[in-house]
Parts: sequence; structure tokens; C-alpha cells
Amino acid sequence: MKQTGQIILQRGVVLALFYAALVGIAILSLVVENHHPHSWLEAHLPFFWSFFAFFAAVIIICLSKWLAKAGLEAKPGCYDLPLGPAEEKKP
Amino acid sequence: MNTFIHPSLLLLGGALLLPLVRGPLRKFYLLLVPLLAFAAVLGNSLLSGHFAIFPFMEWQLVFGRVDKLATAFALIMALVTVLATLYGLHVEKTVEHIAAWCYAAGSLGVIYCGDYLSLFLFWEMMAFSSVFLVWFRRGPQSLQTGYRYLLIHTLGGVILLAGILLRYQSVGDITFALMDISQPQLYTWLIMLGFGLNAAVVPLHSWLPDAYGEASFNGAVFLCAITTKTAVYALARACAGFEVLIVLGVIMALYGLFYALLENDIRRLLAWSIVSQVGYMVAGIGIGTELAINGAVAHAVVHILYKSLLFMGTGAVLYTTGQTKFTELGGLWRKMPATCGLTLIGCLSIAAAPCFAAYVSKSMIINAGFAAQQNWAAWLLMFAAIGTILYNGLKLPYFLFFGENRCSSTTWEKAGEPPLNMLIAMTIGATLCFLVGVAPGYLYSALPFATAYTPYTAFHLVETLQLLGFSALAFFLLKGLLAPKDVVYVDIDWFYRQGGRAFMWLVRNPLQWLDWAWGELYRSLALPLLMLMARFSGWFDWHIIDGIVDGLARTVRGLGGHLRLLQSGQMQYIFFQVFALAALALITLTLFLLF
Amino acid sequence: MNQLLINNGIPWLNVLVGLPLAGALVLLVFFGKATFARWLTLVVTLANALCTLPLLSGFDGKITTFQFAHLYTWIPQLHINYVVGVDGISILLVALTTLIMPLCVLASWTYIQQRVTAFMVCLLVMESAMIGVFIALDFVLFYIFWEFMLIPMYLLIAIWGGPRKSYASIKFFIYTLAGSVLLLVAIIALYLENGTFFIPAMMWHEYGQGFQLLVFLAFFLAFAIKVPMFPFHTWLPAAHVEAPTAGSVLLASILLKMGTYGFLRFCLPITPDASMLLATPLLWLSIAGIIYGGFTALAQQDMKKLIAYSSVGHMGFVTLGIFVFNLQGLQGAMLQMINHGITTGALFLCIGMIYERNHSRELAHATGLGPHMPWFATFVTLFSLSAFAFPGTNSFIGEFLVLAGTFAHKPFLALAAIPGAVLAAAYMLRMLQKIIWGGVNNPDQSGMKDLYLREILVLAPLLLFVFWIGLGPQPFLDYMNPTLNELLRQLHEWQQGQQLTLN
Repeated sequence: MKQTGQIILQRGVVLALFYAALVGIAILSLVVENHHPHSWLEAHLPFFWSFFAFFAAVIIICLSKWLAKAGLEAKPGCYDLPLGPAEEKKP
Repeated sequence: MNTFIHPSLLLLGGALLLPLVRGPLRKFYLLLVPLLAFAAVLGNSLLSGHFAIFPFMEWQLVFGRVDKLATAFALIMALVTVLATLYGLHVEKTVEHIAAWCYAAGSLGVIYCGDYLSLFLFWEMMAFSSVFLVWFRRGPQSLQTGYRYLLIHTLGGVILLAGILLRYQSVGDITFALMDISQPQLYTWLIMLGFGLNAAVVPLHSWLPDAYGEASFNGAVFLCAITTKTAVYALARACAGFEVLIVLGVIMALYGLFYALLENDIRRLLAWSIVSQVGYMVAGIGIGTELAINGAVAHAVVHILYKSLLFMGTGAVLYTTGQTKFTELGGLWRKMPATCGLTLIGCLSIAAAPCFAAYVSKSMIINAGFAAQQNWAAWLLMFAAIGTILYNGLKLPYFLFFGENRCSSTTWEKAGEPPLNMLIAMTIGATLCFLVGVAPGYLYSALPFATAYTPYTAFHLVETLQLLGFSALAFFLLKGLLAPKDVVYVDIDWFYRQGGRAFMWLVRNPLQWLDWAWGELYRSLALPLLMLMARFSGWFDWHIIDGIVDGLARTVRGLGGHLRLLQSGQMQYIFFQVFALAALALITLTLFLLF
Repeated sequence: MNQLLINNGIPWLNVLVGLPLAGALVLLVFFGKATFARWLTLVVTLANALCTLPLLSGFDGKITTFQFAHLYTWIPQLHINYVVGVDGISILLVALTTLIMPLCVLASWTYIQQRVTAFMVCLLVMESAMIGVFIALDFVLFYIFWEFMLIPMYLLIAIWGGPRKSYASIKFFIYTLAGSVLLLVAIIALYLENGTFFIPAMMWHEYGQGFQLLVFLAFFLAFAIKVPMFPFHTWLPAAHVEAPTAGSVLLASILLKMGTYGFLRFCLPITPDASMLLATPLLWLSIAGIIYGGFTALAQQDMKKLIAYSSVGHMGFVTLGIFVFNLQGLQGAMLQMINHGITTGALFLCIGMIYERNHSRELAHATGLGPHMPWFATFVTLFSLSAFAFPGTNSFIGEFLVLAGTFAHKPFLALAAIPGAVLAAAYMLRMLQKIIWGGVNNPDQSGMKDLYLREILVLAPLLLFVFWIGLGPQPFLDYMNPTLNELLRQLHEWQQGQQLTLN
């Protein structure tokens, strides 16, 4: 029990620290000056890079799953099934 | 030291003598040779100019062109050769070491050469020795994979040769230098394609995940560093500023990232990651400004450092457990803490975390993109950077070392720390990743152009932390979607591997068609089709052409047989024939005389 | 006769032709003793090889006349003389012949067990005839030597050959004879035009266009069959497969070169207009040969047939180089002739060594030999590298020069030849990979013994030349350059002359 307790405690602590760090980083982004904004958005939207990172990550993950479903997935060994009489030992 | 010592000579000589070195001296010798090569490169780094020039027929072969670009690449190649040899120190088969050293020798030869002829020699040397590193895995697929790899690289070599010859014919020399990319001719494209194939430019990239996923555990460390980065060097030397490279580089960066994110095999994931990261370098070369080239070179150097570290880590997993799939692994940090920690450093490096390797290089390329008004490219590369954090900074460590334990009991039993030499190699690699991350000054001074870029600005730091933190947030929220599945992901090489099924598949999956319409043309070189044509030619030759000849011969023989009857030998027939002929002759003569 | 540099010293060329004949006569007298036959033939061929050395060292690389020449009147009424001489084109081919011969004898040491003396007699007569072909400067003499080769070769295949030897030997004989008959017609036609059989006197003459075309076509048929060019090549796989090792080596290394030698020596100088007129179709025929040879080689399961078809491809490169009419093409073609002789000869020797051990030419029976025969594996790997023109080997230089010459002439042609290079790599690597590693179903090869000293001695000189020509081709190019330059100069002069007469 004590062990599980420790683990839960650890997990909880880790999560708390993580969220605290995120908040801290976000606040820092407001403080630090941007000398070379590359676009209007970057110069004017607060927490620009945070939003960029989060939404880019979400898009990438979802897009990749969509691509997988759209046909990129295949069973392992799909190349080894025989083609027909034209097949030789070669690739 | 004023003399140029070609490190390839040391590596080749060492390889030649290796079979003679046995016993306890062997390990020492195995370390000594690449260290000597590295020392030679260090010595050469003080020089500058053209050395080792040999006249050959009507040309001058330059084996030692030393300048900052060459030195930077040569240093890291020699260094990674030392690390990789150390990593594989306990490998018994001499042939494996010989192949690896010949491979490295080929690379250093390309880096130091000053003319296209010697470049081609070393280029083919690289292709031919690296295939052994795939074959030495000795898995069920290794033979075929290696053969595919070799054929594709031979094709690339032949395209390169065609470009070299065409260029020689129009320009008149074989110097290996920046080509006139403002007016690209056929030969410019051919040479770029030849280099690009080795750099795994999309769509000529399929060989990379195919072969690197199948390589031996220590061979992969050599492979990941050498072929692609030597190609990057060649592109930087000959095609800097060739704008199409920007497009190709961005495509590579994005293409590789989606496959890497989906991939179930840990080393194929890293292989796709190579495609993606080399995309950055290729884009940088395409941009062509000083900052961009600096960025490409810096990224190449640090990429070699962290990629070799990552392959070493996953190679250790392969070596101990024999498994490479996420679906068979997980939660390994308990049994291999040191490997886990060192690999994590590699992951942090590729994710461009502050104090680690790519932090000081990736942003150079992106900044160069913005500075050169290639905003679209820079934004997309930024986007790809998030992807890198996701698949390599988060997915790889999480699903391999942490998270759910999907190991079978045998796998769990076998998992453990790899032998000491592998751990030492990884530690050195990790230390270098860290050092170059916190103190990039030495790296920057080795870059071809002087640079005033500083990565450690407050803004950049915070920007990177935002990127890392919030992608991590997205990852942990959505990690269910990324759970490993035991499937494979087909790529362009599907067409040339499954030519016959392409049509059926197209009908069923229209989305695929959009992506791979280009592949259709490429597929006309389909290997099954090739074999079919080959068999047809053999049949045609034997039955048709020969059939005509033999048929003719049979006819003649038949005629001969009939004629033979006339010579039956019986006297009466002979007399009859003779008299008949004589009569005919007499009549003809008489008629002739009369008229 | 001012094209000849008469040799007043030791008659080396006569020795080269006469010594093997003398050896053959001795063997005919002492018929029946196998060991004596082998040793005598070895000594004679080695002596012949040594006699080539003074020829090579005494060769003047600056003049373009025929050197070491001899001139004896033979049949004055018909203006037939015994005229021999070497120049840049022929000297390397003569050297190749004399080098390959002792190696053939050594390779046949244990291979031939029956009628050994007869075999050796055939070899010696062949050597004499082959050298005679390359050095003859009188057309009748050339024709005699040309035909003289056929009979020993026929006997080699028909008596000591494989299962289908009668079919293959007759096919070879008739195919080649058919071509040579037309050659005879062309020779007689030229004699009637010129009044002499002396070859250099027939060159660069103003013949009528129609006449040139017919003579060229007659030459072309004879030589194209010999080369062999697609589609006149079907005798080659049959002959190679059924011939004994020495026969295959001689066929591939020397006999095939006579076709291309014929193109260089006769077609270009004697019928230049026709050559230039028909150059483009011939170039495309060469490309067809390169690609076709590659495809058919890829489909083969019989190792000898695979190398035979690869010869079609390689000789395609040679004819490609000849008909682009520039220096690099010609240099490449000449060099490839030597390279092909060395490399393909070596590969046939290697296959013969496998055959001697397991009596099969099937690739499937020879898989997985690498671990059991490391010396053999090394030799065959290096020769295979040469076969697909790996840089550093001899064939790379030859192919590079041919492609450079073709690019200078018509870039599209060279690009069309590029797939041939990839195909060459494909089939050679396939064969190499199967022989050395095989797959998962390798037959048990543990009984295969590695190379004996004799076999190593046979392969080593060839390997030496593979790398010598590959890394330092200049000395070899120096031999051929003056003659090739002269040939080109006269060709261009001729072209300009034709332009002037047109204007």
C-alpha cells in the first residue's frame, strides 16, 4: 500500500510540476522581448509559440492517424505474399 | 605539420591488416586505426589548399582538397568512426570491421576529393561496403534488403556518372566545385539527383528506412552517419543555392516526420527521422546564404552526434533483447537505466532542447530561411520541428523505455545493460551532445563561414521551452492515439515491390493515389517487371531468333538429306545422272553455237 | 610499301606465328603422350608470351607505320605476299593472345583427360592462327588465318564439349563461315579494284559509293557475327556453354575481338563513307546489344550462358565506341577489347573451376561457396567488380572513355546506354551474391576444395592486369594513341575531302 501510495504521490507530484512549468514558461513568454518577429501574429499574439506548438502537435498527431487509416497501414509481411508466376526470389 | 595525410589510406590499410591481428592485441588495434585516422584529420585541419594531386590520363586527380567545409565534415566522420568502432568492439567477425572501415574510408575520400573521378571511386566504395553492414544482420529479410539497397545505389551511381560525363563534355573539366546553378543544365540535375539519392531526397528515399531498419546493431551506427551526410557534403559543395533543394528539403522534413510518428519499429522510426532531419540540411543548402550553409553544416555535425547516439541506444535494445518493435517492448527503464538515460540525452538533443545538440543548429537554418525571404519554408520547418519533438523527443522514449510494459517474459529476461564498450561509446556520444549544446563556440568556429549567430538569447530559450512544453502537453493528452500497433507503413517503394497489385490498391484507396502519382512513372523500373522482361528476352532469344536459325538449318539439312538420295551410290543412277547432265550440256552448247 | 617498317633483326612476328605451329608438329610426331603434350604446350605458349615482350618494349610509340614488319613474295602472279606487321591497334591484341594462351593450357591441365595431345595441337594451331589474324597485312593471308581458326575451334567444341556439343559446334562453324564467305567476296572485289591484296594500299581510296556500301555490308556481316552484335549473336551462348573451359576463354577473350578488330582495321579506313553513313544504325544496334545482353543475362540460370550474354552487352560498348568516331570513343573501345578479354576470360576460368569440382554449370548448384572457398570468392568478387565497371578496375576506364566519347557525339545515345550499366551491375551482383552467400537453401558445399596453386597462378596475372589497367592505364593508352590519332586524322581529312568535292 505504501508503495502504491508513493507511486501515486510521485505521479501526482510529477503532473503538478509539469503544469507549473508550463504556466511558468507561458508567463516568461510574456516577459521576454522578441526582437525579430517573423510575422504579424508572432508580434501581437501573446503565448504565440505555445499555441503554435500545441496546435501543431495536435494537427500532426491527428493527420498522421488519418493518413494511416487512409491506407498507409498494412499488415507486416505484406511484401512477402506471392505475386503470381512472375515472382522470382528477388525483391 | 605541412603534409596532408589521407585518413582513408589509414583506414583501408588498417582494414587490410586486420585479418592478421589476433588475440588480445585485436581490440587495441581496432581502436587504434580509427583514432589514427582521426588524428590525421585533426592534422589536416590545420592545412588549407589542394594536396595529393596525381595526373591520370588527361586529368588531375585531387585527393586532398582541404578547406573549412571539408574539415568540418571530415572531423565528425572520423570521430563517429571511432565511436562506432568502439561500440562494435566485441564483434568477432573481421569482415564486419573491414566493411565498416572501407565504408568510412569511402566517405572521407569523398569529403577530401577535389575532382569528380576520384569522387566516383569513393562513392562506389561507400555503396559497395555499406551493403555488407545490412547483410551482416543475417536476418530472414537481410539478403533481399541488402540487394535492393545495392541496386538502388548502383542506379544512383550511374545517374551521377552520366551527370559527370555530360558535364565533362560541356564544361571540359572534372573539378568538383560549385556548379552553375543559376542555369541548370541536364548534367546539373543528374549530378544533383545522384547526390540526392544518397541523401534520401524524396522520392528517392525508400531505401533508407528499408535498409537501416534491417542493418546489424553496430552497422546501423555507421550507416546512419555516413551515406546521407556525405551526400549532404556533396550537395553543399556542388549545389549550394539550388533553389529546388529548398522545396525538396521541406518535403523531406514533412514526409519523414509522419512516417516516423506512425512507425512501430524503433530503428525504422530513427531512419525516417534521418530523412526528416536531412531535409533540414537540404533546405539549408538550397537557401544558400552563409547562415543557411552554416546551419546545414552545423546541423549535419550535431545530427551525426545525436543520431549515432540514438542508434547506439536502440542498437543496445536490439542486441540485448533481439526486439525492435514498440509492440514488443516498453517500460525498459527499469532494466536498462543507463541506456535509457543516455538515449534520453539523444532524444533531448534531436528535439533541440536547450543545452543539447540541435538547439544550436536547427534554428540557424530556420532563421536563415526567414532572412532569405523563404518564409513558407521556414514556417514549415518550424512545424516539422514540433513533429520531431513528438516522435523522437516524446514517442520514442515514452513507448520504449517508460509507459506500458509490453515485453514478453523472455524479452524482459534478456533486457539489461549492454556490454561496457557500448556503454562507454554511448557516454562519449552523450557527453559530446551536451558539450556542443552548452558550448557551441568550437562548432561555430569550424563552420565554413564566420558567424555571429548566438543561440542562447532569452527569446530563443523561451521560444524553445514553449515548443517543448506545449507539444509535450499535446502528446500526453493524445498519447492514446499514438499507441504502438503491429503494422507496417507502406511507402513509395511499395510500387516497385508490389507492382502487380498497384492497380487494385489504387481503386480501393484514392487518397494514396494523390500522394504517389509521381511514383507511377518511377515504377516502370519495377523489379518484377524487369525479371519478366528478362525471362521474355531469354525465351525470345532461344525460341524465336534461334528458332529461325535452327529452322533454316533443319531445312537445309532436310534438303541435304534429299540430295543425298541422289548420291545413293548405285551405279545405274550415277550413270543416268552423268549422261543426263552431259546431254544437257551438249544441247546447250549446240544451241549456243547455232545462235 | 612505305607504310611498313621492315624488321631486320630477330623476326619476332614470324616466331610468334611459327613457334606454336612447330610445337604442334612436334606433338603430331610424338602423339599419344599426355603429360609430354601438356608440358610442351605450356613451354611453347610461355615462350611465345615471352617473345611478345621484346615486341612491346621495342614498339615505337611515335610512328604510325606498321612495325616489326616482314615482307616475302608468295604468289607473285596473283600479287599475294606474306606481309605481317603490328601497329597500335594490333600489338595489344597480340599481347592479350599470347598472355591468355598459357593460362588456357594451365586451366586445361586436369580438365581435359581424353585425347590430350589432340587438344594441345588444336590449341597451338589456334594460337598461331589468332596471332596471324591480328598481324596479317595481306588480305589473302588474313583470310587464310581467319578461316584457319575455325577448324580447331570447331574441334574443341565438338570433341571436348558438353552434352549438346555437336549442335553448338556446327552452329558456330556455319554461322562464322557464312559471314566469312561474304568476306571473301569483298576481298576479291577489292583486289579487282586495286590490283593488290596489300591491305594498307587499299585504305582511303576513292571507291564508288555503291561499291563502298556493298563491301562494307559484306565486311559488316562477317565481323558483326564475330563480335557478336545483336541480332547475329545467337551462336555465342550455345558455343560458350558447350565448349570446354579453354575453348570458352579463347572464344570470349580473343575470337570476339577479331570482329571489332576487323571494324577498326578494315571498315573504317577502306570504306569510310559507308561507315559514316551507316554509323547511326550501327550505334543503335550497339545500344540494343547492350540492353538486350543485360536483360537476357539477368534471366539466366546457367552461369556460362550468363557470362556469354554479358559478352554481348560488353561488346556492344566496344562497337559503340568505334562508331562515334572520336578519340575517346576509340580509346575506350580498344581498351574495352583488352579489358573484356581479361575479365571475361577470368570469369570463364572461375566458372570452369567450379565445373571441375561439381560438374554442373547451374547457378543453383553453386550457391553458398563463399565460406568454403575464400580464395575463389575473393577472385570471383574482384573479377565481378571489373565486369560491371567498378571504379578502380580496368572496365571502368574503358566504359568511361566510351561513354565520354558517346556523350561528345550524341548525348542521347549515351543516356540510352546507361541502363545497360545498371543491368550489368544487377546480373553480376546477382550471380556473385548467389555464388558467395546463396540463400537459405544452399546445397552442401563443404566438399568443395579451395583453389589449388595452379589455379591461383592462372587467375593472378589476370587480376594484376585488372588493377594495373584500372589504376594506371596510361602505358596501355600510349600504345594505341598514335595509330588511333592517325586513323582519326585520316578520317577527318577524308570527310573534309568529301565536303570539298560536294561543294
